[in-house]
Amino acid sequence: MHDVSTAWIVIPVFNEDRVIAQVVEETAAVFPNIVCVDDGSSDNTEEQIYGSKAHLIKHPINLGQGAALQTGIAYALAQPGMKYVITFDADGQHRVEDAINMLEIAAAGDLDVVLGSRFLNANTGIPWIKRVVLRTAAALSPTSRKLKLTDAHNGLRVMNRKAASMLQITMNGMAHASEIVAFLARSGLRIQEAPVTVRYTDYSKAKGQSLINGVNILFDISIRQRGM
Amino acid sequence: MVIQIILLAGAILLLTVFVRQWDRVRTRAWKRLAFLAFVGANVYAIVRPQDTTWVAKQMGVGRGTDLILYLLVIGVAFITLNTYMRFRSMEKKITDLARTIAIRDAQVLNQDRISLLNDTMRVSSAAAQAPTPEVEHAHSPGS
Repeated sequence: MHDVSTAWIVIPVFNEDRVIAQVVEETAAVFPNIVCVDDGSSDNTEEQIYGSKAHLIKHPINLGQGAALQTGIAYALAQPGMKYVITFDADGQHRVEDAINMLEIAAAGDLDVVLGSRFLNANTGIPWIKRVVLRTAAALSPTSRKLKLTDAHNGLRVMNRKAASMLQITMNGMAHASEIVAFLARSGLRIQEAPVTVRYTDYSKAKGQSLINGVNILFDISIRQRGM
Repeated sequence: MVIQIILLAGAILLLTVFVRQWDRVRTRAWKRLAFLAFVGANVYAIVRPQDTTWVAKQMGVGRGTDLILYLLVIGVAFITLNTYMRFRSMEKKITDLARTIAIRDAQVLNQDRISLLNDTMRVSSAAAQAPTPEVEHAHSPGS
């Protein structure tokens, strides 16, 4: 197995005080290095992280998930011995086994980036409406097609040091997922998808993005692609 | 009609020029010149309102008021776009600032916190939770 102490788990956190401590605890059972970026939460998220084994970074104001990811990655890059960054959602929808598996794939195949996909496994328990929308988003996006991705909006990603230091997320809000894919398509890095299972608990479903937010994402992306 | 071509061309020009070359010195200068021309035209239209109708007629628009309305639509579109861009660039600056502060604070905070946590963990972990067997301990974290 690949040495997990060279991997840093980055978790952007915004108002997740009910689950974040448990998510960190589960992850810490395998990964010794975890950094949680509290994105200016108004609940007790900060205290929950403080009491956990994770490194705590606190945004003084709420900036958005994309900004929190970038902050966590910047912090991880400054840590000695860091070779891999693993991005992870705070709501408990990702499984630690999948992260280990993806890290293995990245290390074994000498890949720069491994992206989690909900759709490589046959049976995944994804609500059908979400499946249709996500598949459509992946199919419509020219960059996703170029990389032959099946799932463009999965929060579980493994990046090696090279990929992580090249990545510059400028989309503070939720459009960062598309931005990352667009960056990867341009970058020429070695990329692969790996099957993951997403746990759709009632909590993560309630927390997940509403589909109408897709309109905002499309708008942000289209303005940006015109040369910002 | 001439006016339709002019208005459409204006809209397209605004979109391309200001989205592509936003914030370049030259663009900023043109924006200021455009503003001066706008004020000048304003004054002129106030002093000689009948002239706007003459200009409108030349362009195939019924009345001077309509011409001004059309031009305003383009003006508003430009202002909206301009404001959006400005907010985006301001947001970026704030993000960079907040990130710098957050990381600097975190380095100080976590240095003490994590080493303390590791000490207590080492004591308890020996007895209680055995980590996954395959986990290597070659490099201990936070050295």
